[in-house]
Amino acid sequence: MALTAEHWLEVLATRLVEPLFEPETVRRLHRLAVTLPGECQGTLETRLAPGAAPVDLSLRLRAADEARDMAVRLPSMKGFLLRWAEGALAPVRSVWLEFDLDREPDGAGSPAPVVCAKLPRETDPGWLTGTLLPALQGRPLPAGQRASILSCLDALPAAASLLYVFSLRSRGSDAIRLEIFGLEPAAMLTYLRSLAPEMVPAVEEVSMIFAGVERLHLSFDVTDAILPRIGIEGSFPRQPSREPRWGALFESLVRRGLCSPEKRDAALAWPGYDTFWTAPERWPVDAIGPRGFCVRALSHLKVVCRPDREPEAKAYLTFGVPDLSNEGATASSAASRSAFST
Amino acid sequence: MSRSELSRFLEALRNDPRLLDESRTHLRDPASALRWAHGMGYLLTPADVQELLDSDLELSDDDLDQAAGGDNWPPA
Repeated sequence: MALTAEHWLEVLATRLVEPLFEPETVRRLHRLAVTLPGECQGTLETRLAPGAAPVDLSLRLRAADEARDMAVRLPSMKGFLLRWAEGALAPVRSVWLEFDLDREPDGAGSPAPVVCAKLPRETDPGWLTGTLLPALQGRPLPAGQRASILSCLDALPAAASLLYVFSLRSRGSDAIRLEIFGLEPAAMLTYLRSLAPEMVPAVEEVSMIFAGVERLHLSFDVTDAILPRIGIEGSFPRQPSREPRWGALFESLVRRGLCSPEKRDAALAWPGYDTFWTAPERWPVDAIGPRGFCVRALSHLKVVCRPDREPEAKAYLTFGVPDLSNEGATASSAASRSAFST
Repeated sequence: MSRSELSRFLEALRNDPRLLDESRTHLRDPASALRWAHGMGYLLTPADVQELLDSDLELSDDDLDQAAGGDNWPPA
């Protein structure tokens, strides 16, 4: 039996509960996850405002064989994924596929995802707009959009860099989302004033929520203009059990009415892990035997601003096999035997 | 043969929390674990016992932090 993302959702079953996960949400997650591979890290995008809300599911692809596998499962993405797998888009370090589950998927199989490419710091703007983005969009960029993107990159301060680009075609938009790394809140506002001054009032207060937060990202959508949707996200290197600033960040969201206290508590309680020995009745022994971990982590918090709406806060909860990409800290090397521990 | 024996044993562990706890105690000594499993009718091999041992691991706080950081942080 092949390992699927649904196997991990099964392991997580006791945690996929209200207030973050409504029963209908969980049903949609399972229906999608059964079509997706279980070897990739997954992320659940949860809305933090009080009340029921959809949860989206993302998968990260890091290797050619993962991309080839997904190309078979997602015919609409086949061209891009195979080009990346063959090395034709080599600077792309990883690819995220984000499946929106705010509505029931049409038909069988996986719905078309939002596609996101992670870039190295020194990405050539000419290659970005002339090769990568046309590959993501399935067509050359219109001249106006290309010029807008180049203007945004040209205006970046030296400390900042483009980290991710997204194709939003699955949402019916031709816009490209740019996600910038390396701007502190004040620098974000300065940057936005130069690009989209009309957005600054909507972003100003939200940016202050992220004062003192690490790993800040600023994202916005570009056609031949900057669209009125700005995202700010941040995180900390350590998980909440060793980093009290997570609690303070959530508290800022709760004070502003962007997060319910119950959802705050649920998100903070998410991190941890399971093995066959902690979840034997749900562990996918038919697919992987007793081996492995299902790790849960709090990745980051995001607030999305639009001029005509209240800001929306989200928490990104990862799950699945541990990330083995950093040298010297792999799960297999760092894990210790619990059978011999006291 | 062994694979099916291990599968049968895992199924028993899944369905009996008491047996699960007991097996962890025995796994501190692989030879004892082997005898204990045989005594209950599960003809495990030393490789099966090793697989069980290898599955019973813990992650450090650093591993959990890394899991949240994604693919190589900070971005190069």
